[in-house]
Amino acid sequence: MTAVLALLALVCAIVGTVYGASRLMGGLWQPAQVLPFESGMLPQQHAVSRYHARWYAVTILFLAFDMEMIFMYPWAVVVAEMGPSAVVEMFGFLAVLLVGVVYVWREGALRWT
Amino acid sequence: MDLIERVRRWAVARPCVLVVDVPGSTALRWTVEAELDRRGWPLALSPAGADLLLVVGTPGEDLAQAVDVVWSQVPGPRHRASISTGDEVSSALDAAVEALGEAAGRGQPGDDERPSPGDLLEQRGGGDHMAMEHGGTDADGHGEGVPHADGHAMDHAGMDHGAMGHGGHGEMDHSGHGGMDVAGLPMAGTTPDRDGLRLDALQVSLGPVLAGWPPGLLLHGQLQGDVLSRVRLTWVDADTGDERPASDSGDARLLALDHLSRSLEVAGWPTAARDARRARDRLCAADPADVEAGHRRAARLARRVRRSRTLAWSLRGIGVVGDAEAGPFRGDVFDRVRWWCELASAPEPPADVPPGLSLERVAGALDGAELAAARLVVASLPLSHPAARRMPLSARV
Amino acid sequence: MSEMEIPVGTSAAAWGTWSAVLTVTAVGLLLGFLVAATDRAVLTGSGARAAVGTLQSGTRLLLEQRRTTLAPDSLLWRLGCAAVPVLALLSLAVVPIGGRTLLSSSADLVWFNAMEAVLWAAVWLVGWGPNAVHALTGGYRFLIQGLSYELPLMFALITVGVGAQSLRTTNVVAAQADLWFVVTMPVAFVVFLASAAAFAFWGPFASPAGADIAGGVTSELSGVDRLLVDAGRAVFLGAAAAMATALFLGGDAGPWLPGPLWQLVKTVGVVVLLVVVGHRVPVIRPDRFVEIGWMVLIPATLLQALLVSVLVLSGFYG
Repeated sequence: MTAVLALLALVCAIVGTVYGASRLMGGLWQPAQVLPFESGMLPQQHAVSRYHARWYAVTILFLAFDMEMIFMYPWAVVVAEMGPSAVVEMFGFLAVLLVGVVYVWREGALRWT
Repeated sequence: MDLIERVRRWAVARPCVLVVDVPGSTALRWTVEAELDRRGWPLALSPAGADLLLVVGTPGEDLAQAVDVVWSQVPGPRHRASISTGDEVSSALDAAVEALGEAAGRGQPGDDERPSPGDLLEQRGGGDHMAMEHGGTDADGHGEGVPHADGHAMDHAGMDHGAMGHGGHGEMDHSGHGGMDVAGLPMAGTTPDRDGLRLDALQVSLGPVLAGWPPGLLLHGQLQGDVLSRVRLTWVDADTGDERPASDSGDARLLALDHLSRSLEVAGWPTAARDARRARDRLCAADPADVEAGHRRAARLARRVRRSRTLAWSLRGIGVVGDAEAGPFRGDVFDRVRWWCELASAPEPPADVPPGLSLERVAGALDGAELAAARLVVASLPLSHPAARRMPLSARV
Repeated sequence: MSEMEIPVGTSAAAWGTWSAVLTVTAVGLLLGFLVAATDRAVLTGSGARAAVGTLQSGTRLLLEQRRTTLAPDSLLWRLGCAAVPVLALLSLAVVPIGGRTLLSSSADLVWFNAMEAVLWAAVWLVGWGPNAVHALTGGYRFLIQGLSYELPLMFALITVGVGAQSLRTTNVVAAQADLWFVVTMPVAFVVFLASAAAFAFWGPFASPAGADIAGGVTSELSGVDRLLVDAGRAVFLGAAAAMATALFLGGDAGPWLPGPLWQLVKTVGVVVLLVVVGHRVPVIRPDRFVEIGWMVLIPATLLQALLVSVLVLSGFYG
C-alpha cells in the first residue's frame, strides 16, 4: 500500500512539475480571461443550468445492477471451491436481474430520442 | 535562453488552425484545406484548441464581429491571418507561422490586447440589453447576442420572424431574471419542454464560426438537456451579400465531396472525412492524372461509407425529411449521405444539383432534435443561400 | 488453485519502492506516447513522423496559455483535468511490468475497475467546470456512455477472475501458462478493449469530445490543462492495452524472447490493433449504444462468464 501512496505522490509531483515547466518555459503566466465558446456569438446565459438528463431511468437500472455486481468479484474466486451450487445460484440470480432489464427495455427506457 | 526560444519556435511550427470560412469563398477554402493537409497542420474544433485563426474570404460586418469574439477566445501565443485569393495561400501561411513563432519565441501572447469578457458583454450586449435580461424570450427578434456594433442596430426582425413560427412566449418563466445576473449574465430560465415538463431552457447559438457548419449560417434556439427547440436559422450578413463572388465550384462532384466531408466530420469519422477532402483536392487539380486519381479515391470512399454498418446504424432515422419537394434529399441523414456518395463517385460531372432547402424548412426539421442530430441534419442538407440562389450552378466558375 | 499459491512479490518489494514507482510511471508515460503517436500516424497518414509530431504538439501545449472562462467552477475544473492522468497512472499499479505489479492484492482487478470508475467524476468535472454549453454536453455524454459500457467491462473482468480463480493480476498471468485466456474468452477480450476505448473516450467512443460539439469536454481546454487530459486519455488507453495483454494474451509468456520483451511486443500489437480498427469505425452515438450495451453486450458477457464457470467446474483450467 505504501508503494501505491508513493506512486500517487510521484504522479502528483509530475502533474505539479508539468504546471511548473509550463510557467517557466511558456512565459505566459496569466490564464487568458475569455468568454465560453459559442461559435462567435456571445453567451446569453450561464451554461451550468440544470441539465435535463433524459436517460435518468438508465441510471436507476444501472445502480440496481451495479450494487449486486460488486458481490460478483468475491464470488468469482470461490467458484471452484464452492462447486456447481455457486454457479447455479449466481446465474439464477443474474437471470432474474436480466428479466428486469428486458422489462425495462420493453418499456422503452433504453430509448429516449 | 536561446534554447528555450528555439524550443518555443519549434513547438508552434505546426500550429492548430481554426478556419473561418466566409459564404461564397468555398473554392478558396478548398485550396486552404488542401495546403493545410499538405503541411500536416491539424484543424482545431474550437478557439481553445487553436493557435492560428485563419479567415478565408472577406467577411461581412456581422461575421467580422463574430470572428473578433472567437479571436478573443484563442489562447496565446496566437496569430490571426486572412486570405482572400488562392495565390496567396502558401505565402500567407508561411507568414503566419513566422509571426506565430516570433510571438511564441518571445513568450508573448501575440499582437493585440484581449478584451475582457465583461467588456465584450457590455459592449455588444448594450444595444440589446432589454432582451438579454429576459433570457432571450426574443419577442422582438433580437436579444440573442447577435453582435451589433455600438449604436448600429441592424434590423434582423424580418428574417428572424420568417423562420420562427413559434407561439408560446407567454410560457416563459420570467421570475428567475432581473437581479439574478452572475458575472453579467443571467441564469437559464425554465420553460416546458417538448414533453411538457417544466425544465431549464438555455438560450444558445450555433454558428457562424463552427467546424463542420455551413459558412455564414446562424442558429438560435434553446437547449433543454441536449434537445433543441424554438430553432431559428438565419444567414449572417444576408443583406450585404450583393458583391459576393459566387465561386461555389462548377463540378457537382466537388460539392458532393465537400458535403460528404462535412457530414463525416460531424458524424465523428475523421479518417473518412480526410479522404473525402483529399479526393476533392485531387479532382480540383489541373493534371488529368490527378483528376483520375481523385476519382478513384472518391469511388473508394463512397464504397466504404455506403458499406459502413456502424454509420448506417448511427445515422438511420435522424432528420427525416418526408415530402417529395425535397427531391433527392428525402429520407434520413444516412439516405442523404448515400446520395452524396453516389454523386461524388459519378464518372462524369452531373449536369446540376437540385437547389438547397429553405432555412424555414430546415429549422422545422431541427425543432425538438438533439444537438448531435441537429448537427448531422444541417451538415447533410444543402441550404439555399440568398447569394447562391441568384446564380445557377452551371453559370459559376 | 488457492489465492496464495503463486508467491510473486510486488515490484516494490523486489526493486525498492522508488525504483518500482519510477518504472511504473515511466512505462505509463511511454505507453501514452505510443498510443498518441500511433493515433496521430493513423489519423494523418503521416507514418513515423507522427512520433515527432506528437512531441511537438505536446510541447506546444506545454507552452500555450491557459484559459479561464466566464464564472467557471475553477477548482473542480482543474481538479478534473489533473485527475485524468493521475487515475490513468494509478491504474498501472496492478499491470504487471517485468512479471511484477506494484500493488499485489487479492483485488487487483477491482483496483483497475475502480480507477476507471473514478474517471467518470473527473471527466464530468472537466465538462462542468468551464460553464460552457459544449463542454457540459460532452460531460453528460460521457456519463451515459459510462452507464452502457461499465457493466460489460465488469463482467469481462469477472470472467477473467473466474478463469484464474483469483483477482490478482500475477495469478491471472500464471493461470494462462497452458492456454491464453483469449482462446476461451474472446467475447470478454473484445468487450474489454471496446470498454477501454470508451473510458478513454477515444475513437468510436469519442462522442464526449465529438466534433459535433466543438470538442465537447475538451472544447474549453488549452495549454497544460489540455495536455493533461489528452495525455491522461492516451495513458489510460495504453494501460488498458497492457492490461489486456496480461489478462488475455498470457502476459509475458512466449518462447525464445525474454518475458518483458514479449510483453512489450504484445502490448504494442494490441495498441496498433486498437488504433487501426478504432479509426475504421465512425463514432457510435451514446444514445444508440445504450441499447447495444444492455441488450447485447451484457447478455453476451454473462454467457461468456457462464461458459468459463462451467469450464472451471469441469477442471478445464487445471
